[in-house]
Amino acid sequence: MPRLDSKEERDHKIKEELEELNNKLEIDLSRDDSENDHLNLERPIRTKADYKPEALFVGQILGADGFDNEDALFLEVIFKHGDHWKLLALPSPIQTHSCYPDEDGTYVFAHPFEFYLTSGSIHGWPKFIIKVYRLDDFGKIDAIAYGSITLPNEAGTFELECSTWRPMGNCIDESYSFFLGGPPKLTTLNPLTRDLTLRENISTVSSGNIHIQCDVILKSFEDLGIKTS
Amino acid sequence: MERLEEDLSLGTSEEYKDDEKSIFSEDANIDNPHEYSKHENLQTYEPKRQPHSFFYLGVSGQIDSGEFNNRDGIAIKYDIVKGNRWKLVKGEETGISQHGFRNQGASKRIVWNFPFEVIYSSTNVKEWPQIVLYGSGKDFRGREVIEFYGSVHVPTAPGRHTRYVRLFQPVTSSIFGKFLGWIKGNPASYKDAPNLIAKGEGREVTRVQSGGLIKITFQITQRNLEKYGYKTTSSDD
Repeated sequence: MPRLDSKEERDHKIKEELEELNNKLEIDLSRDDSENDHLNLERPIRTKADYKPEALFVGQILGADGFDNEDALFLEVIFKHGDHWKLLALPSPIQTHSCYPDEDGTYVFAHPFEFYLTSGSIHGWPKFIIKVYRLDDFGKIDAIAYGSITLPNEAGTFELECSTWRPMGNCIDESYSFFLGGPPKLTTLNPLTRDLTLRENISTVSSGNIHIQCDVILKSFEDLGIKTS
Repeated sequence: MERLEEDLSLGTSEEYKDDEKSIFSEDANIDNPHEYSKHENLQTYEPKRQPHSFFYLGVSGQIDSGEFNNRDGIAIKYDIVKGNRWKLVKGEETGISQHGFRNQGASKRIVWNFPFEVIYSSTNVKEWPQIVLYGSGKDFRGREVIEFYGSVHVPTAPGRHTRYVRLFQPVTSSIFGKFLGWIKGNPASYKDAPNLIAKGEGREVTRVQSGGLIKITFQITQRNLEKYGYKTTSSDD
């Protein structure tokens, strides 16, 4: 009569069967295929330089509307980015031509811009800081409005609208500016984006809108796991 | 062998006997199995594994129509301005359209329907191409005078896009200058025009007023931009 298997022997048999099944699954983790990567053109070896994130912002300052003004306006646009961003191509500071409004009160600037940057951090995403100047019939230039807008972080085409404001003074300053021009101005551009606590002390008056068209191309943000859309 | 009954629906047997010449030249030797297997469409092919060196950008579309407030008889000239690295593979970079006039009715629309198609190759996305537009009309003596300027960047996302471009016209600073320009057929215009409009430098001292609105339709095709790592749309594949 065959001897009944003791508990240990049964366990041993079960283990053997499991090992056989594992072998049959043909998973061999010891085999390393990375040596043949250079032949696999679908996923070629890329160096660290290929994964440096880059962003291209291409577009136009289209125009402006909503300013109750009959004088010519022009814009000065400052491109601001964080510390870890670096411009790869030389930019030019943007100052548009002076444009007279048409019957609807729209101004046409059509000023193209292009900024190509490489990024080391998502902090400090590029922004525009816009100063609106008025040029009157006597040739006098006055800063009449300020605004700032962050450029899009998604790849694609966007129409942006930047609203603007100007600081408001007391009654005397306001009536002076109404009759003679020369509205109150900011002494520094810090309250716009750099030091927002300064805004606690000022009152402002709303002004018109600036229209910007911007196309964005991003490189390697998704590869590094940064999701923007 | 017995002759099978003729199937009259197939036509007479004489017609059916001719070797039908195929209209496809590749099928000429289709009965020969060796010829067939040599056909190039049957080679193994992995598109994703092809090596690449350039990426290609195909820009096609047309300058549809425009609206100018009180001007009529305008022709549109376009110029494509791009960086040095971009090489023109096919197509014309400049073109001049016909002179278009409005219809007799109340609509202010001028139709050109002027197509363009270019293909560029490059290795870097900087200095993305722009189309600079000039609107010109004939003056009272029949001379061609460029009056309106504008520009638009070629869209970066592939697919179909419609862009509305506002043109502007330079304004002479004095009334006398304006009169003289009208007589001579030489109103205020820009020197070094394509770069001045496309780059925007040097325009700070000029004065302009709004000109007209032009509708342009673009169709963008891209190849290999994703392999370089550039992402141009936010839609998921």
